[in-house]
Amino acid sequence: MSVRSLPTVTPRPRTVRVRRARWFVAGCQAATLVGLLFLGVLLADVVRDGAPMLRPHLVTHFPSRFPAQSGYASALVGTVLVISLMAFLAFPLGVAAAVYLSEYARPGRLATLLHVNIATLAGIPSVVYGLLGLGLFVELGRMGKSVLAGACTLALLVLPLTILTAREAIAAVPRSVRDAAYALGATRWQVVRYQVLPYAAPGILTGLILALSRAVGETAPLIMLGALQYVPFLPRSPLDYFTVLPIQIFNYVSQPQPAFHAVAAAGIILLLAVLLLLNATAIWLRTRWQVRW
Amino acid sequence: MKTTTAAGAESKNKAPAVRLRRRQRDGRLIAAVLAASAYVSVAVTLGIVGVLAYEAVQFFRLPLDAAGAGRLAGRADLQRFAEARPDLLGRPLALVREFFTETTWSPLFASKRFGVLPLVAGTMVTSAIALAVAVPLGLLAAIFLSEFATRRLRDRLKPSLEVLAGVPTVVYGYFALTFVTPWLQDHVFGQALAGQNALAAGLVMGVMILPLVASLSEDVMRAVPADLRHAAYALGATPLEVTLRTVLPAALPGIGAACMLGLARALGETMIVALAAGQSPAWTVNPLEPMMTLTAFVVQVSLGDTPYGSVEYRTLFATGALLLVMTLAINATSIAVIQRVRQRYA
Repeated sequence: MSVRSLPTVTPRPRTVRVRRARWFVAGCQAATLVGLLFLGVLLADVVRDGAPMLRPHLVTHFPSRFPAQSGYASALVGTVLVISLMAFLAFPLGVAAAVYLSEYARPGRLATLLHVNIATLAGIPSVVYGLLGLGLFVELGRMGKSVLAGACTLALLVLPLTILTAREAIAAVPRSVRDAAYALGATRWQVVRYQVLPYAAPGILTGLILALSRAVGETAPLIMLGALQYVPFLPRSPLDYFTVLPIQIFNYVSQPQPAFHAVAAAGIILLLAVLLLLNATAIWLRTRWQVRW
Repeated sequence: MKTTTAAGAESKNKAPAVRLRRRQRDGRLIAAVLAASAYVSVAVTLGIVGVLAYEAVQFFRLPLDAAGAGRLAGRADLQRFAEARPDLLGRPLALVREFFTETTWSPLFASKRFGVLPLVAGTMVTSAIALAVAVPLGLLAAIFLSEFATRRLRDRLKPSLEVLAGVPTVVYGYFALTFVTPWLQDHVFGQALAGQNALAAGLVMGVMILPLVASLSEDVMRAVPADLRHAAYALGATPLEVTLRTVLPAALPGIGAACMLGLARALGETMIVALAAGQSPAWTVNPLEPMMTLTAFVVQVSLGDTPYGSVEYRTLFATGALLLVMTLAINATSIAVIQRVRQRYA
């Protein structure tokens, strides 16, 4: 410890510094646990509030003026319709864009523009996407406040996320795989189609499921488009009015009667169960198919 | 091509030169389709900016449109605007000035005032509280994950923290309104805390953006070369000293950028504030009172059925455009900073 003898440095005794460091590490540990603790309390609270309402009629009944008879039938069907239509619109587009960006685009000003643009899009608040959907699809595209307009809006919302995750999965495929295929005389598309995409598939799929679960929980933009709070029928065509699970929950939370809060909590349990299922699938896919290089 | 269709079989019988040319043509076509998909994102950006800019201009044109509404007697809402604000008629600049400088926001009432500052104040106060929660906690969590946790622990803790970011915001809103606010009323503030208030909304929002701040800060801290740490430890520094005096200063720009991304997320967050912060625009900074944010206003208007082109419809886009400008400015800065930091250590 020759440092101590230097004239300009007068450190505090070593024991104090070590004790301080221990406290600091403990503090960091505690801070990390605060978030998890919060999550635990949140889940416990929701389950406590909502568990008594978890009965079959929750999924078979439509919204009602009476809390005991209220259910999520139209919201569940609406969610499934909007989300599957959204996936159909956004995922091919997102994966194609990711392939272009990582395999085709030459580095340069245009590529930088695309990258920055996608990063910017990912940061735009979802309400703004709702306004875009309202102006572009509902009014300009004359779709009305329909399932289709909702799906288009959500598709634009998850597009940046889809592109970013797919690009990461594609970038993780090593150069050598591509070089080997090129060496055999494959065209760029053949390399992409038969080498890169199959190897990147688990990663891409995981990303898509994460985007899906993001869209399932999204409420704000759909309030602008499908904020019908009372939908006592099942949507049959893409041009029907609709409601989704989070909006229905929002509606029940906003009711003044506390009895509706229990219905909301039960709906939250449903929503979280759907999300958990999606995330579990994503993790399962990743661990099962992932190639380690 | 592995295709076994008729076209594929046929092309095998052609001369090699023809096949090559066809393959090149297909390749160009595919490349064009892929490029087109990538440029959709640019179109989306242009669409967002275009739609919001156009509709915001329509808002500031209200005094002109309403001045003509006497002749176009049919637009009831423009008529009502003209009756409520005769002083604005024909003076779009007066509306611009009122929007940015006055402190009463009541476009949905009979006495219409268009000073947006209370909404900006609500947005700022809730976001500030959120950052006050997320920055210290997120930073400490990031320090723990990057400096002290074993690899195994980090691989378990990081995804569990990220679960917080995946919880739908309407769930957080429910929690803020039905658990956090009553708890704060019972144990801390008593009835001084309103049933809807900026504090609970901000606190819960802070937990929501915590994983974002933690995860991004951890990334930049791990990018600090290990040599620097080893050097500091070799001089006899404790873990605290290594973290505070070596790693943090090196990672500071990136951490700042992470916090700004968190701020941008907080500005745009909607459901938590719409549920828990309240629906009354108040020109105040007292977090115990109900406050309305820009996003909560958008939700409030959207819940009513606003006809296309009406006064309410236009205010929606004016507030939306303001929110977009604020988030874009913050996002652009932080993205630029993060990129510069990455380059420095890459």
